[in-house]
Amino acid sequence: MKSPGIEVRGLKQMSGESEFSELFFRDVSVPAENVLGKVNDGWNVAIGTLMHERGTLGAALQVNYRRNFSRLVEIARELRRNCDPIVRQKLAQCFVEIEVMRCNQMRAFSRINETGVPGPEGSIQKIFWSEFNQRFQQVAMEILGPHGQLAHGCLDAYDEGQWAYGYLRSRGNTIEAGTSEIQRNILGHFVLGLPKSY
Amino acid sequence: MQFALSESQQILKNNARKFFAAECPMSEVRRLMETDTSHDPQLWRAMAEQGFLGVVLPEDAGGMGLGLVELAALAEEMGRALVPGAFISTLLAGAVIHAAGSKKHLAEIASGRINATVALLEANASWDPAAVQMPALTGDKLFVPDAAIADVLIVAARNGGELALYLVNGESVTKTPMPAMDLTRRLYKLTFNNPPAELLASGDAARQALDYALDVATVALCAEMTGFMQRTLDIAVEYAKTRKQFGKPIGQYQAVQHQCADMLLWTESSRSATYYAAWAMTEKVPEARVAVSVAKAYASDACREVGNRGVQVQGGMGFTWENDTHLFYRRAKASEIAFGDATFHRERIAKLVIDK
Repeated sequence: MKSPGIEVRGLKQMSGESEFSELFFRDVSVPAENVLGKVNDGWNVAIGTLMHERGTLGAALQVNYRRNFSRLVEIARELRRNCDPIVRQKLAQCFVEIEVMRCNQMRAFSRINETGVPGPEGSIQKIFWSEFNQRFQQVAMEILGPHGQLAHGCLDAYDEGQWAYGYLRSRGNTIEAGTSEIQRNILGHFVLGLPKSY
Repeated sequence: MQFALSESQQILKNNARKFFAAECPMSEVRRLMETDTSHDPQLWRAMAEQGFLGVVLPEDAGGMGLGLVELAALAEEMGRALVPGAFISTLLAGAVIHAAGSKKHLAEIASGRINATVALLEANASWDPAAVQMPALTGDKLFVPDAAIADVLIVAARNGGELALYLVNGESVTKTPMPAMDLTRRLYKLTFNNPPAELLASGDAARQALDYALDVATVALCAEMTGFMQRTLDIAVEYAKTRKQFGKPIGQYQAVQHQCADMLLWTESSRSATYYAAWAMTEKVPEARVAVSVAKAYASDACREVGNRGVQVQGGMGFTWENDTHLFYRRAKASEIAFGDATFHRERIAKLVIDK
């Protein structure tokens, strides 16, 4: 990344941070031994990396989600929303989905253990964690009410504004690591055997 | 950690698939759904010979003494084949008797010589055993599955203020059919007018036996629902591959393909949750009850939505009587309702997780 000719420009996201960048290459020379895999086989190297990400990222996220869920239950108690039957239904549904995600992930790991490589069914995890988190962040907003919008820097904000941040950040979930639409193409073609749509 | 079927569990599942493909093809399902009881004594005997009717009953009571993972593997295949009749009702009845510490009728249930069912619901239609009001033993029980062929009834009633379970001869009550959406499992209203009864359990013991047995049957039902989903998905995908519109298979259009992808996600997720619950119940882990409710809450919504999409993907064909999708769709609704729907189980989860 320090090679001459590489320019990195951070992209400011709707969440306010810059996790992604634009990269510009101007006559960058790379030694031949730095080629990953084989020349003209870059797609397979890249897709292998992405399949690992799709197939396994959910395992770590599931732990985060469970922690966020427990915190939201505490907040619901503080705000005396935990006896509202609608809030209870929504919280329980979040719990259901986190648990299902965990079970899916355990099955996926067992499969990867056997085959050695993550398969296209990893797209199920990707769709699941990304779309779940968007639903969860919305449930959090409903429970927090006016508190939900308070951002980092507001002294009255719950958890230093992480709920407002989490809500905005979650919109990226269904885009990063391959959009939900791409994941559904993968499931449709590579898992279900439907004809390629593109 | 290995979250997959063991070799012997996989063999049991494969054998069950072959057995039901041969003994209960869709033509047989359609024949049975035109009968009054949807029950075939010949198929039942063949299932008993395979040991299917006593999978989780102990060996000294004529069962196979297997765990709930094996039960789920079998039930998933039965769901895939949409096997009509009294499997779940008999399973629940056997599990109640066993959980109450009795061996009465278990060997006959496992061998298929008698059928049994549980009469729980009343006009208030609540799956919570605390909602049982009928005094022992006079009044009506509603939504009792497969009662017409039941030789033995297990009846939940109030003995004074206490919940109690009674064994009652199936011939000693009036049975009125309650025609419903599902044509492969029949519901009945039972009218009790002080029939001779034998007390099975009362008070906390009755409640615990009922709770445990309902959880066992719920896991099996979730596995059946996973089977419905898999079959509905297979039918829809097959159609989407062959049916052409504007010169292309409709499965090539993303509007159709992405619905199939969603069906896959719901089916696989229900499968994961169901087998986890089966494992948790077998291993008696502390969160087993939560795991059962997670599976039922998820599978109830998923099974309905897979059915919705299965009909939609096939367009006009999916809406016809001759297409098998509606047979799964009907049973899916009955299964969504049975032992508590998603709303019921989410509240149970709220009590176990949020209130703790």
